[in-house]
Amino acid sequence: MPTNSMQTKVIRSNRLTRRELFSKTSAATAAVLLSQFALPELVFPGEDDDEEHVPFLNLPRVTRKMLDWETLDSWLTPRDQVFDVHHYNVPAVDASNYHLELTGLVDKPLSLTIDAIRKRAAAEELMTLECSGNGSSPGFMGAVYNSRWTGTPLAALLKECGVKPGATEVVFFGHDTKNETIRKVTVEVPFGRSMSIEDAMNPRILLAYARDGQPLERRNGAPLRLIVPGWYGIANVKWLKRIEVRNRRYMGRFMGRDYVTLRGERQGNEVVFVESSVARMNLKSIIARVTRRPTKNGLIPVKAYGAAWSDGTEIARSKFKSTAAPGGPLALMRSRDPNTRGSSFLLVWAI
Amino acid sequence: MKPGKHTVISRAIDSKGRMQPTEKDDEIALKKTYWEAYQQIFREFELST
Repeated sequence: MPTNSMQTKVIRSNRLTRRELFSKTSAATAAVLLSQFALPELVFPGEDDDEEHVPFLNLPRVTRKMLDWETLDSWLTPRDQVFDVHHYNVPAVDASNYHLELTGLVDKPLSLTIDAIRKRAAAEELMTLECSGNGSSPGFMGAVYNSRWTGTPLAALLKECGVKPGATEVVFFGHDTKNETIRKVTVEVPFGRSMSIEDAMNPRILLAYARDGQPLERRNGAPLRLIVPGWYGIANVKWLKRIEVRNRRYMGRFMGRDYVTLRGERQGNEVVFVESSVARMNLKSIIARVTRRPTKNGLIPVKAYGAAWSDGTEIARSKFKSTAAPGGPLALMRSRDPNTRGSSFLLVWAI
Repeated sequence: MKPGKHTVISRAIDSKGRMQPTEKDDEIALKKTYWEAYQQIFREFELST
């Protein structure tokens, strides 16, 4: 079993490599350590010197600003591998003249500068943010990243404003706009997403102004964006302009016409098609890369490295299998997620 | 593993017993839009001596 001193060393080290860990303990214990104490910096440790990367045949490598699974070696995603998607324009919002409006069915509407927001109680969220289209094609597998977000909790602000009785939801509008044509009428509308009052009161939701200790980049929503742990990227509204508490369902394009999943559900002998707004992330895993060592007695030692994430529900275990592996049972690695409450990349390697 | 082509796949299971579906499971197979693509993903590779 790992000793307390070993645990402490693992926890204190930012980049303890697998080689270092193996040199101090048995392979089995090291595997347990890595799965149980999978701090962000440890999740994808470096490979051993004699491991050789085996390229995948059916999935192309990413080419631009997306996560390159096959070279991943840290929990926090490098800035140049962070994807961004925008549906309207990419506004240049002047932070020095910025005001966030909090309006609608509240007792005390607020208008806050970015400095006023920064002076409020700050919180951090380590989380996985995934585009809801990620995984929809072999060339689109890297629209997901891990970050440490810093901001002020939304729930405290809403409480301060006093949500009036009868309010049902909170709408988040961005500075980004576009002309939309709805039933032959064309109007300029802001990007918007909404959630119920109950969901909006989640204490983990942030109005974020920094990512990985740096001010937000323009492409990622500067100077202020919404961060909703466990929800797909579309809900994490960038370039926040106004937060409005309402008593009527908001049905903007990205709630009711786009980012709507159409799925057949079996009802007795028939399939009924149901449309639902994309919101919470689903349980998911992926083999990130495969390595090999030199052939020995006709067999090749192979390792697979991977990751799993969710909407925040704890991941109990991840299974790995090879449909062509000879010699019986397939490896099963258990892992848990001590820091990020399930919405996290995890090591799920198998040998 | 023996030399040749191989396929690997991973599957996650959460604490509520929910399992990442395969492409053939209803929740993926009956989905007609591309969002929420959380099916199990195959990776193919080849090993040579």
